[in-house]
Amino acid sequence: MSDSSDANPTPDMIEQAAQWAARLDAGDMSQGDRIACDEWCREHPLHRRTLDRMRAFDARVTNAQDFERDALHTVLAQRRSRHLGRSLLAVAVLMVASWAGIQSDYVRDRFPDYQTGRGELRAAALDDGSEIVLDTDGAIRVDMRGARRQVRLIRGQLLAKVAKDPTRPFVVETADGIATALGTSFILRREAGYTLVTVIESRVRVCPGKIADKQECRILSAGERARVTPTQIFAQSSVDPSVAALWSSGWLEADDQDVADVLTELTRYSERPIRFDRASLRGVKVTGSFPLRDIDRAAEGIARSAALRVHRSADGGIAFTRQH
Amino acid sequence: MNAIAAQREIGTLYETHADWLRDWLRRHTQCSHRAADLTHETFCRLLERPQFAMPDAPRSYLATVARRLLIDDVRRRDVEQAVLYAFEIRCAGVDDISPDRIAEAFQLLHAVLRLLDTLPMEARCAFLLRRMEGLEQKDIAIRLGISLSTVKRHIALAYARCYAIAYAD
Repeated sequence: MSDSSDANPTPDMIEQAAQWAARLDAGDMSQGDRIACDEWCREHPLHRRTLDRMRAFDARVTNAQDFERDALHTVLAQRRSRHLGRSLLAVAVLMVASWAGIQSDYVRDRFPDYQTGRGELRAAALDDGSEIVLDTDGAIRVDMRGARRQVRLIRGQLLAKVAKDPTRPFVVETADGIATALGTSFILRREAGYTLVTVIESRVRVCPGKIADKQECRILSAGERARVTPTQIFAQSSVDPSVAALWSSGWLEADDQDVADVLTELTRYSERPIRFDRASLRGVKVTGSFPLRDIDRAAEGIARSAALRVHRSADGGIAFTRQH
Repeated sequence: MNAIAAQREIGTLYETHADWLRDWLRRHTQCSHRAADLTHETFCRLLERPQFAMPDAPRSYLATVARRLLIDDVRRRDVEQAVLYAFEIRCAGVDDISPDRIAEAFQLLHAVLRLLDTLPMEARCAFLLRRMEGLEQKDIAIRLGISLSTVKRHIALAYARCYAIAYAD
């Protein structure tokens, strides 16, 4: 420890070097000032070294690349919003004793920000320029105030079109997991037991459960799909992204698929019951594009393509049977 | 208590309470890997301390140490996530994604954040305005409604503290 006193500047030296560095940084030094600075530097070898080191750190920060600045903005915003969140919570707890449940998803999911009924398609413009297209019988919550832009898919299917903001990640989460937009466009669909993520454009990072930085996260590219459960991610077969997003333009597309599956999907969009016997329709295929805004036309189109009979019952329901 | 006695005491603490601590951390992090890492780190921290005295309430004591490490860990992850995300958005498609470059970015951010943590609020503002927004010192004075010499003092403080962070470890 004894001869390192030569290798380290004293607190006084650090203070003096800092003063000189700040004056150099202001850029308003007179000729006399500059001479004084040079003299100080020459007084002791550590003077110049300390000053140079300070200015080197300076340069590293000033020359930080765009993505480094973005990251710094993000972290500072996160810390600010965490701090805010905590102090607001303290006030709320003092004033209102019985809303302990307000923080839980269970309660908040009962108060969605946007909802769609059966057969309804709705586009919600978010205030950062992003857009959420919400499919039939869906519900979402939106929170754009914090350091992360957050959407929660409670029910149904959504197409997210994300406006790029390198300082604020755009995240869609469900009870199964989290999808972070690394680009612009993707679909999330809640099913019983899992959430299906389909990437339409660019890339998305998909994470199981509540934590967005687990090792089990995966990055998916355009056309790729995955099922997300709270514990794991399962890759699915890839799809044509333009076909996968057709529902958002009001079309149900089938390419040589089991008619029973197509009818099950059509049911989601119909307020009237759709009836068919899965067993008797086994092996029957259908191909075509069917309009989701007009269930009757869609039913007729499916029946024609699959060579099935359609009849309407007294309660308005539509029944599909094989032709005999 | 000398070092050998301390090690023995900490060992006893470990045998009695490590499992409990790991469970406690698992509940807080929802990840058993992190819980195991942080448990390990908590006891390492105790061993590193120059003085150790057996606490009256060991679990509460261990939880306090672990909690601080957890906060540091969360902050570290926030930084790393922010860097990776910003890098994806800005530089995706660039072929050479060098892990060294990312590591440099982590280091820069950690250093700047540590610096900011040590500065009082007005000096922090002055530093960010100067380095991140590129404002000249005289314009910072106008923006913050303070004198130019006060700005210079804030910038000098930032220089002094940054030396401590970057070079005195």
